[in-house]
Amino acid sequence: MIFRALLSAVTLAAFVAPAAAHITLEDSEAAPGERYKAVLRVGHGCSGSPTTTIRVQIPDGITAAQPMPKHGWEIEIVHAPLDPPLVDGDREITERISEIHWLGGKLPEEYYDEFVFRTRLPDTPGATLYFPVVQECEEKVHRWIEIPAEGQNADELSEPAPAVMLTN
Amino acid sequence: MSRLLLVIVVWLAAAQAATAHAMLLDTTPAADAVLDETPAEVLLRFSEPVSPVAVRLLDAAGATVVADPVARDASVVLALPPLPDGNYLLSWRVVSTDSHPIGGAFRFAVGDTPAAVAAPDPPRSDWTVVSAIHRGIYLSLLLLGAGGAAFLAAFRQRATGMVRRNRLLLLGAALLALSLVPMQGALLLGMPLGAAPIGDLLAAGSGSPIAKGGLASALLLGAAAILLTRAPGMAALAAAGATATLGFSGHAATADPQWLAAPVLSVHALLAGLWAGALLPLRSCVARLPAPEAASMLRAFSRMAVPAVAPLLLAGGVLTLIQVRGLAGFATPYGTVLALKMAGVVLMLVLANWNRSRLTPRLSLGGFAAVRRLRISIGLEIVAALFVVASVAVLGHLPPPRALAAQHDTSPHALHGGHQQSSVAMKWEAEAQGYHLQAQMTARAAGGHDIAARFANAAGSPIAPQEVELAVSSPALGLEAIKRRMQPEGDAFVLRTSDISLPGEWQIDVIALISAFERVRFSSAALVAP
Repeated sequence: MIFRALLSAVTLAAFVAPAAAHITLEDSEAAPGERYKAVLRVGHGCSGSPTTTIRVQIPDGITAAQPMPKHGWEIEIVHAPLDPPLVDGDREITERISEIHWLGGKLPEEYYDEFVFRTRLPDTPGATLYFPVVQECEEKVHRWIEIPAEGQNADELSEPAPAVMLTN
Repeated sequence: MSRLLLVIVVWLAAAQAATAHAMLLDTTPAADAVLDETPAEVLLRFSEPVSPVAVRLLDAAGATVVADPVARDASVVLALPPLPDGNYLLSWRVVSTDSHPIGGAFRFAVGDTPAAVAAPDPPRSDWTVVSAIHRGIYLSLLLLGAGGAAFLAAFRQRATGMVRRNRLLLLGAALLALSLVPMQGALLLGMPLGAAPIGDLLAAGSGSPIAKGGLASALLLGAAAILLTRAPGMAALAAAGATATLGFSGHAATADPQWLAAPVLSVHALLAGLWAGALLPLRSCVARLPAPEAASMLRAFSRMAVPAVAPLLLAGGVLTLIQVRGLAGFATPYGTVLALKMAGVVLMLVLANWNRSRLTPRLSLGGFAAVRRLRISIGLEIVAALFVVASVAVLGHLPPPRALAAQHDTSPHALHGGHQQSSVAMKWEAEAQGYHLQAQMTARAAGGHDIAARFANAAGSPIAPQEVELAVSSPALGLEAIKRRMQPEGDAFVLRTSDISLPGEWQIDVIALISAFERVRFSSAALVAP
């Protein structure tokens, strides 16, 4: 009986959850050292104004990232120098992707869309990686860039950065 | 099964976290609007339906003009009576459907208003007095009950028959701790006595640190009252926990350095409880036990109590340094009451020493006269202890002279005085995430203030953030944050304002967007002198 009540609560919650207003990552937990398909979920614009640009910052510790092309959007990649350079076999990697931008689209407030890139997560179990996102609309900007201070709950933030926790 | 439950609960919590918080879309009148005449209502439009918790319109003197909001669809409406010309501040706090509270404040003006706002009276309501009395009784029962529980645990065999009184003390303290929540709500809402429905008071009060401490304390005190007969040791421990919550609410919880103030206050309260709480049981023992036995008990207590006096006074001294910061601070009302408290403590010390070195030896020789004198003397000590606790309750409702009072360059009135010719009213610095903020507030000759902020990175070189916002709020006065953009001007970001004029404790946050992906919040406390 209790189990049933809980089950219905879970079903209800499952329907409520897609109403998410924050930009979040579809998988909030992932295995360290593994490939990770990052899916940024965008559920609304800026107080009614349609989304025209999504910029995501790739955190330090990630050296490679590949955006998935998206119809109707141009992609721009920003590189940052790697110091010291990373040695991969006989190859020396001197820069890494630090930002991915999706530009020139138009996602109305009422619609939902996903922005996807693939990456390899660092091998640091227990760490939480933050992918700060700037959502630019025709009017106004949302900055999903807040990172909780030590001991702070991410729920208390008004615009938290999408995050993934590295767990085995 | 239990593991499944846990998983589901965690998952539910996670699902809830992802849901939307309401956002304020716009307001009518708009922030900073100057209107020819009073609008019929103030309308706050949100992105989803919300329930108002505290929505108040304050006049320039800080008095609440209207405070009965109505929720209409996704809006909150405050109907206005005709208002006299002047500046008004609307402070709002609502909860969205996911029960996440959000709040803010904005200013608008009606008619021709002078640029400078007259120095107002502090917005103290009748609740301040009621709350101070309430706190005084709560602290008394808490310290007497918790200290008594410790005494009963230590002298279990000889202190029989005092359990009932002690349980009543603990239960009374637990009840008063519970009622801290609506009491704090009443203080925040600032409504006239009896005007606010209890639901509003609970909702408004539940977020404050004092109310949270009160809830924890009530639970622990209840547990202590139950355990008192069977496991006095555990009961004393629970009661000690309740006493320790005092350190994490009230002024000390927000005083810098916080890592020092909160634990020191907890220790101070625990030791004070041990002393004050032992007095009632000791007095009973003197009356009830045969004189030699009572004397040996008094001596046993003295052996425990005397070494605790030095750390008690030391903790008090540290707290005084933190809150008062120097002799000048004693000229404030806070300093005066603190001095009275110290006088009470000195009286207690004198009486305790008299009891220990004079009366106890006489008691061991026997004689009714010694018993009577000792009872009177301990009774006086209890009265002195209650006086000390009462002064603590009053201190909790006065702004301590720390924070900006120390940083004022010249006159404490400079913050809202329009007379000084662009004198620097205050300067402050703050660090956050490796960045450094240097800010100053200057009074303008025409009235109002200029606030200028400069930023530097960890290496000390100046940096220019993309955007800077100033958020001024007063949790102590129950006012939500007023947010303003600061404009770049030369090497600084500047804001011209006439907002900060209500005396009390304020929190000033400078929020700088360092780069597209990095925002830093520099928090400081400010005290505006009346």
